[in-house]
Amino acid sequence: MVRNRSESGFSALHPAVSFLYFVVVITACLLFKHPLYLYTLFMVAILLNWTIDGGKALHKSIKGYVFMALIIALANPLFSSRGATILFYLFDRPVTLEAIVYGVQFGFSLFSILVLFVAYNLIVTYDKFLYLFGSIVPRTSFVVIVTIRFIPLLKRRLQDIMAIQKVQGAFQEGGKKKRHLKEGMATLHTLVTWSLEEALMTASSMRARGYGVGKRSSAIRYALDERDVIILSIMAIAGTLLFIGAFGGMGQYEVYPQLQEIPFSARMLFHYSSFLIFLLIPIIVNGKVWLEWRFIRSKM
Amino acid sequence: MALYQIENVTFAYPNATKASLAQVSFNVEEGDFVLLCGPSGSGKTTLLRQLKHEVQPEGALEGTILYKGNLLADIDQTASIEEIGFVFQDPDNQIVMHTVWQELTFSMENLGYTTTQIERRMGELVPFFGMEEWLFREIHELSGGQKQLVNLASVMALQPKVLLLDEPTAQLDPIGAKAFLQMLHRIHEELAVTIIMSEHRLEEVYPYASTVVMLQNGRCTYAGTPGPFLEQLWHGEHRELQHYIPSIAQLFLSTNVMDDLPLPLTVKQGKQWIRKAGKDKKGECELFDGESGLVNDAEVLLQCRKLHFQYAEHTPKVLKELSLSIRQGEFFTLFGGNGSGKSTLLHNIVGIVTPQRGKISFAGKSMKKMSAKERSKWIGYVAQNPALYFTKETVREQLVERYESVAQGQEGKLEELIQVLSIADVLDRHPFDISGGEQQKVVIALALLADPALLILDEPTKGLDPYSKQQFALLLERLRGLGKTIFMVSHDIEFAAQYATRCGMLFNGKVISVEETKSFLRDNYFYTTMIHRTVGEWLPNAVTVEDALAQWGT
Repeated sequence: MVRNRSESGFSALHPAVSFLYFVVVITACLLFKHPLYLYTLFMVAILLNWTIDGGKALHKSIKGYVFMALIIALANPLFSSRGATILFYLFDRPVTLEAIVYGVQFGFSLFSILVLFVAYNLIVTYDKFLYLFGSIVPRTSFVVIVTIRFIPLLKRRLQDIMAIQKVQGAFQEGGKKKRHLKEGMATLHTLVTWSLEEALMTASSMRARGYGVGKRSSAIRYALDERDVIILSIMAIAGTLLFIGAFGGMGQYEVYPQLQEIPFSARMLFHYSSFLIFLLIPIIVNGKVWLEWRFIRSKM
Repeated sequence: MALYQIENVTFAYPNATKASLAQVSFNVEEGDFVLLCGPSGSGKTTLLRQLKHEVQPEGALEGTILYKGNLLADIDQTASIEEIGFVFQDPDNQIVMHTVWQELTFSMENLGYTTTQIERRMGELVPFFGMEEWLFREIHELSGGQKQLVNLASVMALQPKVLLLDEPTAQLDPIGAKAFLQMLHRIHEELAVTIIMSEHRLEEVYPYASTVVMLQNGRCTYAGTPGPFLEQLWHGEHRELQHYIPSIAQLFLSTNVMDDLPLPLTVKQGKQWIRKAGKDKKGECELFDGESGLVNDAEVLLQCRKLHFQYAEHTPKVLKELSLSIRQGEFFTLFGGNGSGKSTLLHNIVGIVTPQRGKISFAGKSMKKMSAKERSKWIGYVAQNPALYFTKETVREQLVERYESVAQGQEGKLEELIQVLSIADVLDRHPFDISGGEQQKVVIALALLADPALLILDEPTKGLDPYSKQQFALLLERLRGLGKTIFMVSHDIEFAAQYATRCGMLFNGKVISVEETKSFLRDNYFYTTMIHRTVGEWLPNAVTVEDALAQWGT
């Protein structure tokens, strides 16, 4: 059954497949420190977003992510003086090459994780998440869904209240800090009271429509089809190799106490290949769909 | 056997001194369309909630409510949820999920329907409601009318036998309300679902109803066929209830001619009656001269010159070269369709957003140069949702805080306003616990404490019952008597026809056809009162019941 107008390629696969993919890739971002691995993750994260929606969703938030990554990369050498290679002194504190490299490393993996989460939100939508976990932890997953809807809702309400408070003369530039704080508290108070009031009605409406009566079912049925099985097998093989290698110390790179030479070996190349295959799965799936459409259209 | 047997139902909320329902008795037959009417606070919501076990409020209930001969509490839970559907007033807060699709399947998933069942029901439901286009949209992108249709559809997914609806169109614009009521009519006619609905828009629902139940102060004062109901209201002792009667019926009842004709409710019926009654003669045709002298000469208070506004770079322009002037002492009403930018214009004027180009000035002073405090001397803004204003635990604290920040030292100012707005009774209550009409008055009091010259109201009559509307109109008249200028944005043509001095329409980002109310409505074809659409052919100057009566000389 077609779930959404735009669902095709990787998004159209069984949610377990896509969920598993993101779990592994995001873990990989935390696990691997090798520059080649980090760079690959970075590129794949961006490419993945591009193949999903042409990078539209990423475009909205990328500025903030770059900023965050930069802050992390800059903050580390300023606050940490670990490492043997002292480059210069700043305010009597040594700034080391190792700390700079570590900051950049950390910034890169944080950035990749954030970008991967954008893709995750596009692919593993709320209802897919609910489907996956609805039968294991039904209450919790439902609470998660409702909460997720609440965040933008509260944001919109807060904006509305603040606009009115501003018209009423609150939040003026040049006002005292203490006064701003008081006004902020009043705004939050309104937000909470109002939202609780609304939530009471929502609860009534949920009860009226049978929430909590019995075991919830799901309107969506995902059956593992042939394609899912093939992709799952590839993921299983590549993934196993990936983790075995990781436990064997592959993809690591120690910064402290002193920068080492970037490790490179035949074994690592093998490990990197399985890593790359795993990472590229959604891009290949999406690319195939893209090519198919170009091919079919040219025949029409 | 009746579907619902309601016998001697008395109900009081915990700690309440007065019962909300007192000895209410009536029956509902299968296939009935019951219209429940009565002023706000008369117990309509309480009564409707008593009819479904899952939403019954806490409190002391006496008397019996039987559904198909059984007590509500004894009905099997699943059957009760499936057979009795409930649609609430506010389109927003009864929605649980993120997208339309999820919301529609929510109730079916709760009851554990299989995926095949759900798919099949959706396959029927979605085309019936014509929702294919917005099935995968997020809820917050929809208009109020669309949201309320989603709520109705989500309940209909369970194939209920009875629908209970609590003023479902009160928060909707006229077009959304019409679409909703037509859908409801279709459900009643084609699926024979029993409907029990409370509603203020009598002219729209009255023709569909098979039974009318009137509640006043928790007592049932009428329960029966709609036929004699309106006459009874008209001749009854409660004058304030006459406002409930649709304007065409009011006109008919005022003239006392041809009492054997059926009571006309729609424009079509009204015209038939006029022809039969021999009133289809041209009235005196002295036309008003466009604008009356008084308003024209007054000094310009608010001026918007060539405003341009858009929310973000690549979004459509909401306001395009908009110009508007409001004169001292007038009551200006701005109409406009949904999403035409009416609220956006107000936001520009009160300073929530700033226009990209153009100039707004008050009494010749540019708004940009004013501080918020100075601005609040010129404008008092009453937004659609009063909840946005309430930051305190009681109405009194709220008013005192505002008094201290803007009216410090003006002895008696607060007391005077409390008296003018008659809100003395609610001072010690929580602002969220008072009725919508009272909340609105409190917000008006907050705005007026700064003593602004201009009062800006965003859809103030939305959700008010006819009697409260009348009271609200009197309040506005009193404020104008105190020298205030009023600028209202509204959908309520009937209200503006009676009280506004000038009207205009916002269309395609511009304010067009600004004219004196009577000539504005007289020259419109769709956007005019029911009375004008009925009698305009013969009495081109009549836009209200009083006009028509005066010109007929009765």
